Amino acid sequence: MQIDIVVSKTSGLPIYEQIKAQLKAAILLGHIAEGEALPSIRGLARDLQVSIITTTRAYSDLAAEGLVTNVPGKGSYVLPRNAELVRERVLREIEEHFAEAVTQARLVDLSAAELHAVLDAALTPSTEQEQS
Amino acid sequence: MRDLAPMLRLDLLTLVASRKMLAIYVLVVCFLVAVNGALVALPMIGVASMMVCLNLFGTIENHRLTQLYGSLPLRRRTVMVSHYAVTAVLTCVFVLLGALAAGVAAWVRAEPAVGVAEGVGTLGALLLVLALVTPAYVAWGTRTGGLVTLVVVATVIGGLLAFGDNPVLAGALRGLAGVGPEASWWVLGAGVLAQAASLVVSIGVYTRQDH
Amino acid sequence: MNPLELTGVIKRRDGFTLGPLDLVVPRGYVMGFVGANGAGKTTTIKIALGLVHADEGSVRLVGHDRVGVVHDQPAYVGKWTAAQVGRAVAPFHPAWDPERFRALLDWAGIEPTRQVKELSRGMGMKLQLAVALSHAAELLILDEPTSGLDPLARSELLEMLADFMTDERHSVLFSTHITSDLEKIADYVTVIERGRVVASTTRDELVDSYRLVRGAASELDADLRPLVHGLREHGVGWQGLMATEDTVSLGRRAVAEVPTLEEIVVHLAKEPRHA
Repeated sequence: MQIDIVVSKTSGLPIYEQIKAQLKAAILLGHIAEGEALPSIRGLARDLQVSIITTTRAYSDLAAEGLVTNVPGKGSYVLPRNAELVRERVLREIEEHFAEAVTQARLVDLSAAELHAVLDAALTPSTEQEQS
Repeated sequence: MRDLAPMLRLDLLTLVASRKMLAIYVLVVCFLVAVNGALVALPMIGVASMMVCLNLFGTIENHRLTQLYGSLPLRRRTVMVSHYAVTAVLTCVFVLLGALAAGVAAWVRAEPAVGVAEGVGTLGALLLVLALVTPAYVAWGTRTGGLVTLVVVATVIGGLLAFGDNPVLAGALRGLAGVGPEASWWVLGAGVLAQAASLVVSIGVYTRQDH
Repeated sequence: MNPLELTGVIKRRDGFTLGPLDLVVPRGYVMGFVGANGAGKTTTIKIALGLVHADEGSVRLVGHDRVGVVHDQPAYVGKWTAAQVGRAVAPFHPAWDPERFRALLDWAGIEPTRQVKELSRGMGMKLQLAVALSHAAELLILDEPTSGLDPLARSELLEMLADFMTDERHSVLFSTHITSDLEKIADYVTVIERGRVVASTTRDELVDSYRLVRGAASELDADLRPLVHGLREHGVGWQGLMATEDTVSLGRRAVAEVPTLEEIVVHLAKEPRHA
């Protein structure tokens, strides 16, 4: 499947993080199959017009999270995933994000009901979000 | 010297780029010879050949060529060896051309021809002068080198003009020019030796330089 | 093995001392070499190539046959045609590929019969690139290759370099005072200022380690002044470059932003100025 990576150079978010986030999403959504090869580190750097160190960093991070393996001289391949482990890891990340959101909410005395409303709005299917 | 053959080719390509100027020199000399007769042929060709040869050592392109040499797998000493070799060959060619022009002029004007001794002697004299002057070009560049050449050549010509009547000098010159052809071969030998010594000096200077 | 390593290099000339200087081009990466004009970049490159002899220190360069050099002006005889340039250089390189050279001349839009002196600046740069890429060079040394070039030519050069770098054995030393060229392609950056290396890290780390700061005059006290590089005081405040860790001592009205490479080089080169 065609993998697209679109980076913003002005968003403030480091480019390596954007690359990593988009590749991670593609992997978790199954757009890149297990065992399939990712674009080469250098080829990606050339295509996106970023430095090789930037793409290397993104791929290193992906490897650290157990999503890919980087084989020297050959390339980077998506690792078979333990679905349970992935779910657990994502859940933990969500817990951290929620904990942060709750802390923020308490600073301005947001009620639990208001917080739930925010969550419900976020869970609404994307077409409605695009219209609003 | 694996880099010598490529360097020789590079020098020849550099000369080829100046072929129009070369042609002009040759034409001017031939013209002067035609006008003034066979006797001036060799001295004139001498001056022309020196200017051409030294071009190789100190051209307007010098800065760029130096940068080129620096980016190639090329040793500094090879640059000097090649320059000297090409210069020597060019000088021979010029002397031959000059002798030819002199011969033609002599035949056309029914003047006494120029002998082998003159040719050999001229070649030797040119090699000597070049040997003296070239290290100056290498060490100090085109402008100063050119000045040095001018001074040397002017001194020689000036000396000849000023003291040409001097019997001792005239006798010596006649001795060099015609009497005893062996003398001219000695001059040639001295020229070759001088070139060798000059090459050693130039290599030393060129290798140590910052470019 | 790294293609270029300068260690402890010192060169003294006319009251200007270059070094002690260390410069390493890591294999497989692009090293940007930046600094104001006169900071010592060209001398450093000449020392690397052997055109200039260092007074002290050591130079290790992968053989000249594996190096391609691009200057701001082509280092060829003006009357030579592009084809003659190839003929002049080819005998020195066993790995010379005449097909590749012809193809690259095509890419550059240079007729083989075109003379070097007739070429525009952009084409002169492309000719040198064509030569450099035709003998399997592993290290490209670029000395101000983009000065005087229009944006299109500069972009084409960067694309060629990006392509060159897809081979992990290739490396580039890109020396320039036009730092914006390096924003995209440099993996590492070495900043040279008045003959000394003031920074040499990955591009990201370099940019992370400084902040461009603008602040109120009232907050510029005696403790803060020496921490600001290239301090410019004006009628309504001041501006300068500071090490990131020093920004903790800034007053409330100060604004600290991530600098561009250009701002880093400029501020490190400037002497403090007062309005």
